[in-house]
Amino acid sequence: MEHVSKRFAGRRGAPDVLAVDDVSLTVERGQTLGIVGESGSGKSTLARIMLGLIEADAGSVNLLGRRITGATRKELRPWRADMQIIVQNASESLNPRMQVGEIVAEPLLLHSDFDKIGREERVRDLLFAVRLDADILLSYPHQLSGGQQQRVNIARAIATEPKFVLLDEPTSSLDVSVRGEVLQLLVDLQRSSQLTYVMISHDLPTIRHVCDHVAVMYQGRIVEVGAAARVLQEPRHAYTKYLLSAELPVDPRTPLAPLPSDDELDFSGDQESRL
Amino acid sequence: MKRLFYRLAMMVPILFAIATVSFVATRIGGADPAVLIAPPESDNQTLDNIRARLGTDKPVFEQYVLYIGDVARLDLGTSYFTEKPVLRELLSRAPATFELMILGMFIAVPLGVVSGAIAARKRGSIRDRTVRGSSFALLALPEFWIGLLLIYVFFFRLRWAPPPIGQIGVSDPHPTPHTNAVVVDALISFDWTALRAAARYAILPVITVGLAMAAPIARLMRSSMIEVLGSDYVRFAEACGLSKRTLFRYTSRAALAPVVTFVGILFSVMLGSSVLTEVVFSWGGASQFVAESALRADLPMIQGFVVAAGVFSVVVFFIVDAVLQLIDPRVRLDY
Amino acid sequence: MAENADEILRVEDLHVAVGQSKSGTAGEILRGVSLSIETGSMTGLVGESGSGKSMTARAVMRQLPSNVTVTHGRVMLNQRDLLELPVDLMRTIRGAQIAMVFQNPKTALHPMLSVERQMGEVAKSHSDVGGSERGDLVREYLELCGIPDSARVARAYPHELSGGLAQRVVIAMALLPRPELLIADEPTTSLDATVQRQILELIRDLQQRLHLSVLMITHDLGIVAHFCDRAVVMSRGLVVEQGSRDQILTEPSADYTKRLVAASRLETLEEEPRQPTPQMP
Repeated sequence: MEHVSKRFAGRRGAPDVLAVDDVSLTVERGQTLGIVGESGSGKSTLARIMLGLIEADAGSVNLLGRRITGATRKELRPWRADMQIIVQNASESLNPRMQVGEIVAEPLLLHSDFDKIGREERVRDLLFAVRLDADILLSYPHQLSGGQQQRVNIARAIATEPKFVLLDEPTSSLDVSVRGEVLQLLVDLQRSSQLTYVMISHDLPTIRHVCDHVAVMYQGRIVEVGAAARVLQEPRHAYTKYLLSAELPVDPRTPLAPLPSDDELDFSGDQESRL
Repeated sequence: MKRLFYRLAMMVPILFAIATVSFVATRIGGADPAVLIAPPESDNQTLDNIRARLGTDKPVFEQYVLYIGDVARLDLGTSYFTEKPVLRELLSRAPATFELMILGMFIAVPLGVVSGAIAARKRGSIRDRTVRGSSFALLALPEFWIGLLLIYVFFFRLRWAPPPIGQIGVSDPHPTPHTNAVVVDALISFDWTALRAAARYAILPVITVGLAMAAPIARLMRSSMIEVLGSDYVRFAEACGLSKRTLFRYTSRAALAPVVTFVGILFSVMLGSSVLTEVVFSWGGASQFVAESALRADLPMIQGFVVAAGVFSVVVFFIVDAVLQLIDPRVRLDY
Repeated sequence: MAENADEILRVEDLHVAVGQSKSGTAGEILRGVSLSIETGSMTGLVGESGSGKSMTARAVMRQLPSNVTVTHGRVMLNQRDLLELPVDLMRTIRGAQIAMVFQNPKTALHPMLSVERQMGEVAKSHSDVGGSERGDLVREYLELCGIPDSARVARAYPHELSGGLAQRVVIAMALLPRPELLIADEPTTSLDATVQRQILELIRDLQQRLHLSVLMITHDLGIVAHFCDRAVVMSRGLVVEQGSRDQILTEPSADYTKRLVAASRLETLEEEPRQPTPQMP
């Protein structure tokens, strides 16, 4: 992505919102980029621009060698098989009237040439890959737990063998005990299929364990970017430090960083950090 | 204040659109008014004379422009039938219609609000099911049909109610006609005997309108109340130890907000259903007159009524909007 | 459990079920919950979704949903069983002795009333302060909860407040009647991490200044680690384990607790934190 910007018109007298402000990012194949930011940072908008779901006002997005910005919907459609998204709310992404088998088969119907038998086989393989029992094929989403629902989402996402997957807070609405399993699954899938991930998260331990690189967003801009291990250990930008200070590690013996006082809370003037 | 002017300014194009629709709608059938009002077997010359007098020989667009100009000057034309100005005819009969609607609302609003609230408090109970069932039935039945039903039961069978011959019986003492709305006239002249007579004749029509309007109010109140009763803010207020009375005030205020807007809108919708109800009871209001005008193909009358009703609705919506701004601060954000 | 004068709240074998007994099967939500809260402590009630932690709090406040009932057990507040009290008496206890704060602060406030109006109502129902004094009291509590611009916030309506600000208002409103016990049901879950920290520190600060006992309901063990003295772990309608914070986090005895703690630290992930490929831009 190069110099991408997006402005949303303000509603009813409110000022315009510059959701994404001159953002430039690169992700290597097979790597995972994490994007951290609080609400209002623009990370969700950025993600959707990445996939061509929202039009950027300025800048360009090149994904898998294709120019996403400026492409028409018709042009984008066949590319969608290669780029998928998994969102936070697992249950809302699943059609409550469709059975699991139908849900996972849907992208195959749209993008592949499999016949009915071929699709069924592939769906079984996919369910196996996400470690779900084949007997949930006939279940409806509301009969599944949160973790199972998210796995169905993952199965559907990898159905067309994408090369790029955008993960928007994939485990945030899941129970703590289930998060680890789902993340492990995502990591394993990446390794076995050479996937490239962009993961949006506000959960720093997740970023630490899963991401190679991380970009920190604040009010539409990237304030710091670099290797995940480095950024999270030795943050350079004040906002990154602020985010880290708010983290609550599950170990009472680790002391908490003090919260900055109110006058240290203005980050807008700070420079962007370079790698 | 800016909001207010914006809203008022918005009304102008809307009224313009209403007049246009009215004009188009009455001409869609292609009826030639000259043919309708001329005596049968008139020759073409007579017809042409009539057309010239009415102005229907001019091209449609010219007619339209003239019409809009007239409407802007509050001239809604002249009735083909009574040959008096449309506006005057409507205004002289309007009080009776308003009287019926307002009295009907006096019944509909308390009945609807209270039954909706009762139903919401104990969901699934007998009370709830009664309210839901009866409101469903009342909604499904056309208003005039409810009127016919009431007439059949209470006049025809039980002889409790007077016959549906109008606002007051011929032989009863009539109050001095100021507004042509009998109950109102009796009240303002302090004529109690007339009032008693008028009230007897008013009961069934008012109940008809009241029941028909109470049904949707009750349903809305019920769902609004259910939502409020289950809301976080009611639970939190209760958790803070507020008294039952205060909680009641909290829930009422929140639940009534959508109902208030709805009642306002309902009021203008009522005008439509009142047409046939007035006919059934021979009420003699503007709506009945328009129904008769439609049968007589009195085009200016029909056109004029549509415009008048449109203006009335717009004004009502405007008032409702203003009231909502007062009640609900969340709505105040716009413009 | 022996009665302990240092306990402010004790729940004994609480069973709560949903559904009518007419239809036969009534699902049990709480299957015999027993826990105790020490006076002056901040106790974390930890559990995942469906564990029954929120339902336990609502049972204590006697604010269960309409189709949910207590089928067995006692809730002892200062040696009185709250479940046995007549409704009017319970109303006086709410606010004055126990207060509760919810997850979403913006929906907890009445949308059509200003902050000072709502807080004023709470003040009015618990004391006899007159009009202008009430205004002062409201502002005092707002400032106590870290809102320096109290006059402006008091005049505002809930939809005009940010999440963190709204939660401070909610806390101020809950504490107006000076309760002894504050139940906070996931008060920071809907807030950003940085605001969460501020609110938690505020609660801890208030706990010390006002000698509050706090029951902090959460699914986040990080909160327990840094803000709670004690912890109660729940799963599927039962208390699995309770004890001091250190005990629960570093030496849990129950299997469920061990798994929960491990999962919270993402210890289940095999990978070490990642090393990126060298030629990254």
